[in-house]
Amino acid sequence: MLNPASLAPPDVTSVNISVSAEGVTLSGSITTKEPDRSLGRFFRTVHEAALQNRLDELRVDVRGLSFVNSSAIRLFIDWAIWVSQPTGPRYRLRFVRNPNVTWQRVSFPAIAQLAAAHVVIEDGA
Amino acid sequence: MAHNPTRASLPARPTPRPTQQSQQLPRVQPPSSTRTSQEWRTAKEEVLVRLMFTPGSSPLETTHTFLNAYLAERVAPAAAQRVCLAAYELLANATNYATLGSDVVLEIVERIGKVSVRASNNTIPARVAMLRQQLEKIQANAEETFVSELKRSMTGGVSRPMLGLARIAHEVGLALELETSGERVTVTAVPR
Repeated sequence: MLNPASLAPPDVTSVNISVSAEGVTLSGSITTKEPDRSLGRFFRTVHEAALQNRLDELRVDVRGLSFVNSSAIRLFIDWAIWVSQPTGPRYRLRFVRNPNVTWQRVSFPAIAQLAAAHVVIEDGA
Repeated sequence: MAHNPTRASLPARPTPRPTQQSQQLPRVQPPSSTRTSQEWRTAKEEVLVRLMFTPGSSPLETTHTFLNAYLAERVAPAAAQRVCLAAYELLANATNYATLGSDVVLEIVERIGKVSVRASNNTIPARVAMLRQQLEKIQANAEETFVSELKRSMTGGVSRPMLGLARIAHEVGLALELETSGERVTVTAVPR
């Protein structure tokens, strides 16, 4: 399980981030030009915590993310790459999406295709 | 090629747009199967929003916030979602690739109830060639280009992935058109 107290989310305008023992929940919109500097680093920290805590699975709930720019989509691709490393410890990355949100419906199947064995897409209510 | 050492002038007001699209301007247009109707092309257009930016500025977040609120009141939710995405990605490209000293112009226009987005900027010929090539790939197969741009993001290729343009075509289903005039390049996202 993650320790939410040790994973302080970055302060990014227009995005709400919460951390639980099971993973991360994001809502709002990601419009910052270089999200890798803030969100990307945070995602990496969560990833490393998941490895350290030997999680079998980590949930990333994006249902509340109504808009993301292309740079933000790349962050999710990066995360899929991290869990797809051929050696070393790893966990299953579960993206919980809202299929009624266009970017989520279109992007996540493609991301999962790129890292099929370690990424799961779940349609949330 | 025209040389514009200072600031580019604003594009002509768009009302006479159909006649502006002269045959002498090189254009990339959607394939015939998705070409927008002649009626739409010749219809009078109304500029809903025209914004001008300086290259290298960072207008994306505030512009998105403004357009999101404006379009929510002005157009149907599905159209607002499409237009917001297209405006964001076109503006991101335009401000990234514009030559210094020229203006970047973003316009939201409406013709017979359909809303389109166009962004124009001055740029170098190499960028125009790259853009033309990219749009041709997208028009040939938007989904395939989208996936291939995702893969390029994954492998970290040398050139910058152009995922944004592919998203406009594949994710929200707008057709992309390219017009050039000297150093000025205009990309328009139009409803199919």
